Amino acid sequence: MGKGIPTADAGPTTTGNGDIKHRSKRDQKPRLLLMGLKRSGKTSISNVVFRKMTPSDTIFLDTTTTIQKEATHTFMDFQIWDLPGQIDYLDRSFDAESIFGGVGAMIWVLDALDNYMETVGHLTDTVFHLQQSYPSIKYSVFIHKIDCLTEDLRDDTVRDITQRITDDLYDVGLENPPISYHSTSIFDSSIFEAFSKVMQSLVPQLPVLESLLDTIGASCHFEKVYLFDVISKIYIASDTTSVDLRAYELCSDFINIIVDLSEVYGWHQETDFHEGEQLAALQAHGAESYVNNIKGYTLYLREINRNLSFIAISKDPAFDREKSLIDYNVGMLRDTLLKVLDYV
Amino acid sequence: MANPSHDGVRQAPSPPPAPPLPPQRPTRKASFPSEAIDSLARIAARQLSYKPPPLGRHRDSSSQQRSDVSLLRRIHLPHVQLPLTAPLKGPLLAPQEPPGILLRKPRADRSVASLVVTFRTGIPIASLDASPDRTRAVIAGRDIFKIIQVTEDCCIEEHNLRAAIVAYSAAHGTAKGGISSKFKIKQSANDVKWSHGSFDRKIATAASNGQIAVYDIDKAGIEWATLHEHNRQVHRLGFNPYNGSIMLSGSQDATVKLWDLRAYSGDSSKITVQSRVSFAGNNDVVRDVRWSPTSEFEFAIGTDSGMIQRWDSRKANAPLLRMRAHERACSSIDWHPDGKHLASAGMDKDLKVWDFSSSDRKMKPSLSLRAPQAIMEARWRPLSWHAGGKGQGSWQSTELVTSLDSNDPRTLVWDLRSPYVPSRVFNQYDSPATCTLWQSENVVWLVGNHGIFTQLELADLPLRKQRMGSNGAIFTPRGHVLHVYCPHEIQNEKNQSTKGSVVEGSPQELADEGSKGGHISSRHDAKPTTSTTAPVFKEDGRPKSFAEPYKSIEDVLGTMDTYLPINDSTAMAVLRVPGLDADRDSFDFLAEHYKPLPAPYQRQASPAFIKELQDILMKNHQLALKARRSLAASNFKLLARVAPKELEKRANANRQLRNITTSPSSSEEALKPQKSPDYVVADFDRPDRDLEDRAPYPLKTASLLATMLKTSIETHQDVQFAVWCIVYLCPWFNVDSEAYSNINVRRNLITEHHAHLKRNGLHIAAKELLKACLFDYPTFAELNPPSTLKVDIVSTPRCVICHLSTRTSLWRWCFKCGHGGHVKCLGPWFSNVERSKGRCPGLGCGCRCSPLPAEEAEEGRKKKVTFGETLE
Repeated sequence: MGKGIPTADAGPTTTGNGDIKHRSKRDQKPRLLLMGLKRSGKTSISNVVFRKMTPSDTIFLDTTTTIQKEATHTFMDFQIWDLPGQIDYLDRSFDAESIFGGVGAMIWVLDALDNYMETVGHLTDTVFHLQQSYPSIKYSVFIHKIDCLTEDLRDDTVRDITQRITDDLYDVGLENPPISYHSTSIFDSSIFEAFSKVMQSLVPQLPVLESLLDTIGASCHFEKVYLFDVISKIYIASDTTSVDLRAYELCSDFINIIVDLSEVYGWHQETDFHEGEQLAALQAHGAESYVNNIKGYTLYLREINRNLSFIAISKDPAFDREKSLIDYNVGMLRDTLLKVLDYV
Repeated sequence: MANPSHDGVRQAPSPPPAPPLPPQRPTRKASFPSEAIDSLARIAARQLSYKPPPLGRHRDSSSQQRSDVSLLRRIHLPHVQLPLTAPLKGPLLAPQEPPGILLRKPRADRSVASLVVTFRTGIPIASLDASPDRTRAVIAGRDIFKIIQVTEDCCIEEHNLRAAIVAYSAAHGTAKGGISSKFKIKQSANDVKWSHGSFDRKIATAASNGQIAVYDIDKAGIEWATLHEHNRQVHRLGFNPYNGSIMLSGSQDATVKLWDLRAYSGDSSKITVQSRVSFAGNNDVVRDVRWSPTSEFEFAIGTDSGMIQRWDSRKANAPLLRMRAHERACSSIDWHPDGKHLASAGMDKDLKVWDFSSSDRKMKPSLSLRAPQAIMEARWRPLSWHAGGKGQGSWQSTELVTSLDSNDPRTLVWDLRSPYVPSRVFNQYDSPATCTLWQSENVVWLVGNHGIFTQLELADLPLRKQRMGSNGAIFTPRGHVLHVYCPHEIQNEKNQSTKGSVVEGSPQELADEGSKGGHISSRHDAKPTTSTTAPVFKEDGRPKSFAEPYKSIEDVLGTMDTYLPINDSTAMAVLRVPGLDADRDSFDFLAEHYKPLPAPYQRQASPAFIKELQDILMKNHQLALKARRSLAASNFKLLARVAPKELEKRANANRQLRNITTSPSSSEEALKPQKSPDYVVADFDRPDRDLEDRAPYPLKTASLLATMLKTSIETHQDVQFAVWCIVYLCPWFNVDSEAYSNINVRRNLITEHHAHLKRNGLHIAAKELLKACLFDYPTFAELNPPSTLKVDIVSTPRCVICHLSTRTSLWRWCFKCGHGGHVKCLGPWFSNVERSKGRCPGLGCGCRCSPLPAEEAEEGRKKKVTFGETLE
């Protein structure tokens, strides 16, 4: 982990890993596995995050029986495989290579309401076996349905689960396994927040994006800066200051409004609703929107491309005065980002 | 420019008892031997030496004209302040006043605002660190990098490192006349740390892009070395307190790296250092890194997913201890000076203290506080003298200073001895501190995005305690009242003006405010003071060479549960309110068994109802007898004799009226509308007919009820009986008692009783009360809205009886009305067929969720009109 860029294994450009060559080109997209026992909420998560299903509709989802492969075409192409929970993948009859080879990250969904002893056992088995063959996989445990627990129970449950997993893995000899824990619920933004963290580990350009956002945040006096994937509302990078979760909620609500409005009043790229020149200029500039003074905050959104948006929260009272400068700065950032992300 | 190597220039005018012995280095296998010894020597030197302040600058010369005795005078020892005031009981050794000493202004002229020493830069400052001798501060930010000299009452800029860098880059850099972008990046500093020991001329900054730049003060302008192995932002640096060349860096890329500045390579123009060890934090952003103050090899980290971990730098593969401390990101950690405890602060607003000497992974925090906002930084106050009552003091480190996130500009000081309210608050700027540091045990340094460096003396912040009431009381559900009375002088600003003498003169105040440090604790300045960074603790957490009493954090926390009397005049009493608690068993019994009147919304005195009323009153009479409530029992009996009869009379009268006047309008005047013509008052026998005749005056139920309510509430505290009467009987009788005729009074009574029932876990009784009150006291019922448990998952469904979340245990719901609840709540409700009659416990819901067998058969034949439908 100490050498090289830690996220390089997940990147599409990697050629160092031998087995990548053997697979077809389509499979070279970074892959994200959703695992966990049945009825723990895997399909619900992928539907809520990537298909915009309303959380209350997930109650009607059927049990998944086959591997659901979902390719997303957002800022970068990657695959999400939803593995049904009732199958033992460590069985020799399975072609482990076809499932786990080239996986960048695995999300283990763990039902906090369930008796989690069983799933902890499965998880430690899986991690233990996969660590030997595929050491580059990063694991995230989503302690899911956390909203159903009362506040005080929540903390104890999460601590108990993390402690159990750590202890079990310690017993089999994995002292410091690459697992991170998130407590999630599909009924609030925590699932998006957690998914963002996981997705970020698959973005090879993350350090660059982060330092770019840090720079713009400092030079424009932004409190917090995000780079959002508009469709899924996942942020693929943010600056490194630590702020409340509320900042994320604010931004994702803002994006929702903008997207809704643009569906009503926007125009499709091809239509010649506007005069050609004007449209070209607009495309070069990127759509932009800002909301002033919600309880002292200013929200600023700038379109990077069709999938990505830059959102900043500012508390600077001089935002209006400095608007043109900020526009210029963000314009520069936009050009750089497009270069970094290989869109140009 | 002060150099620590000149420190020994002037010795302190020998503080009366000898200062503590220089700490002995624990005999352990040392991996950095030469440096460690060197740093030890420096620590020892630091304790014995101090930096003389710049002379001159008498502030407030008029104060010199006053008599010395009435002045609070401060002598410029780093940590020793002496009040020269009224004679004190303890041995006071007043040292000779050195010439040219700075006199502090007397307290009279000061408010907090004028007290603090500030240095205004106007440029946002991100971080701060003190020089090894703690007389200078290095402040760093995106556009600032300066060393300032801080004394008691002024700050002087000593060195502008940034200007030097700009000048150098302008002279040698590629971009003439301006600062190149490369330098710009390197200058923005997230964190800055000043090393010590033989590296005390080195300052490390965490620049953006994961670079760490080390500067040498003597060769300002050029970077001494660049450390670039992190590929994302570095959040925190830390020099080993035992060895100034060993540095840790915690970064956004989820690793902590250990660097040894001695092992550099490259020529003088481009020195680089290779990291020695890298500790993997597992995809988890490292927010804070702190070396243990007592162990050379151990350090702790706090991460973005709320984990705190303890590491040994010799064991790089895994942490010694890994614990989830916070629900959200852990923003800051800090070791207690004893090296055993760790405070962790998080974005979840919690501040927790952990016992890190144990390796129990399932440990609970020793203490958990909740701040008003997310905490960005928490720092322990170094050991300081706390005066206890009767002159028994002890050394303690029980206070923490915290800065909050951008929504709250306050800096709070918490005292673990009274942990639920911050003991002091500093609130002067409109943005919070980004970095806080204890310069000594009484002085805090703050910097923030407001661009102001602030030196704050703890004693100058008023104690919160003084502003709060000196007594308090609390009721327990069991009817106990706990009352604490703690008299202390509540000091207003006027009092404070003469505080110098007031404080010293009143031993009580002294005892109470002993922890203030500063002037008051200076009574004890005979005690040796310790240098703030010197690790004076042994590894077992006991301080070394401490003849003085020392109070460990366990001692302090141990006394927290039991009541700790602050001084002699504090009093505490536990009272019992009779009637609430005296007969709890009978209360529970009666709450569950008192018979309710059926269907209060059916305001028709049918013969069957009158019969039932009679029965119920008599049953309640027996129940009250069983519970040994003789007054309630006799009251019920009396009511049983009077009330049904009166109702019957009224029914007769109404019927006659209806028979005479056939016009429909006249029937409306009846208090209780009797629309159905088909009742005949049953001619049941009246064995107590004589009672009415023999009574000296006609017993009116209304007046009887008024008296009963009054006596049972005011004299006998039998609220249960009173509420029963109010709920079930008062709608029938026009009670004209002065006190209890007002509907608000009645409603309050019912509300209180309802709350009391719920507190005692009598959810079903509470629910029944609620249902009974639905029509007469609608506003009360609105306060407890019917919990509709439709199949609406978005809002957490709540049990229809106890109103708690249903997801925690087994529950079921009715498919007809959608109400549901815990099995353990619904079971008793429906199993008691006599009371529930198979109806839904939901308020205002007439659904027959569990039809009685008889009704079920009936329902098969004809559709019955349920209560719910008649209501509409």
